Amino acid sequence: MKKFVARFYLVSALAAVLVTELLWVVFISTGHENRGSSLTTRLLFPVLFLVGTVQHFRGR
Amino acid sequence: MITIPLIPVVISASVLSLVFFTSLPLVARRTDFLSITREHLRRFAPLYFVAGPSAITYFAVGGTVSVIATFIFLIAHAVIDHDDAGRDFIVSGEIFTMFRWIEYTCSFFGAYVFARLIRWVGLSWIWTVIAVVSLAVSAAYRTARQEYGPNASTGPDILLSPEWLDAIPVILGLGLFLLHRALIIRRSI
Repeated sequence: MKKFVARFYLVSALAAVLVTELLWVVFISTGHENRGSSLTTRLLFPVLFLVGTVQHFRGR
Repeated sequence: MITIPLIPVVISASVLSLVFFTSLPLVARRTDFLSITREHLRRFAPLYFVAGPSAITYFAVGGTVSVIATFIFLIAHAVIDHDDAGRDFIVSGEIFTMFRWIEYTCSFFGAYVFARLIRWVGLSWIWTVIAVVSLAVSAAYRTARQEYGPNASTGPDILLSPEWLDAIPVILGLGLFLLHRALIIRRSI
C-alpha cells in the first residue's frame, strides 16, 4: 500500500512536470500566439537535450 | 496554429501544486517516495533536467506567483484602501515592476534549488551547467506582456532578441549554491 501511494505520487508529479515542460517548450519555440521566436529559442532545448542524452549514456 | 490557454494552465498548475505540496511531507515521511524519486530522476535525467528547470521556474512557479500576487495586490487596495489604485497600476503598466522582480526572484531561487536537486540526485556537474544554461537563456528571452484595448490581457511573452541582464539572477543563484558547497566542504575538513 505504501509503495502504491509513493508510486502514485511520483507518477502524478512527473506527469505534471512533463506536461509543464511540453507546454513550455512549445511556448518558447513558437512565441506567444505564434508571433514568432528566434533561432536560439527554437534550438535551445533540442541542443541541450542532445548534449544531456549523450552525457547520460556516456556516464552509465 | 497552436494557441496555449494560459490562464486555465496556470490555475490548474497552482491547484495541483497546492494539493501536492501540502500532502507531500506526510507521504515522504511514511513511504519510500524520496528514494524512488531520486532513483527515477537519476535514470531519466534528460527528461527532467533540460526543459524542466525553466518550465517549472518560469511557467509553474513564476506564473502562479504572479497571478496570486496580482490578486493580493487588487484585494489589498480594494479592501484596505477602498480605492481603485490597484486597477490603475495594472492599466498604466506600473505593475510590471512587480512582475519583473517576481521573475528575478524565481530565477535566483530556481538556479539554487535546481543545482541542489541535481546534487541530491547524484548527477555530474554537467547537468548543473545544462540547467543553468536552460534557465539563463529562458530568463533572457522571457518577458512580461501587456496588451491594451478591449481585450486587454497580461502574461508571459518570448522576445525576438535577448535581454541578457535578466540572466544575472540565475548566475547569482548558482553563485549561492557554489558558496554553500564551499562552506560545507570547509566545515567537513
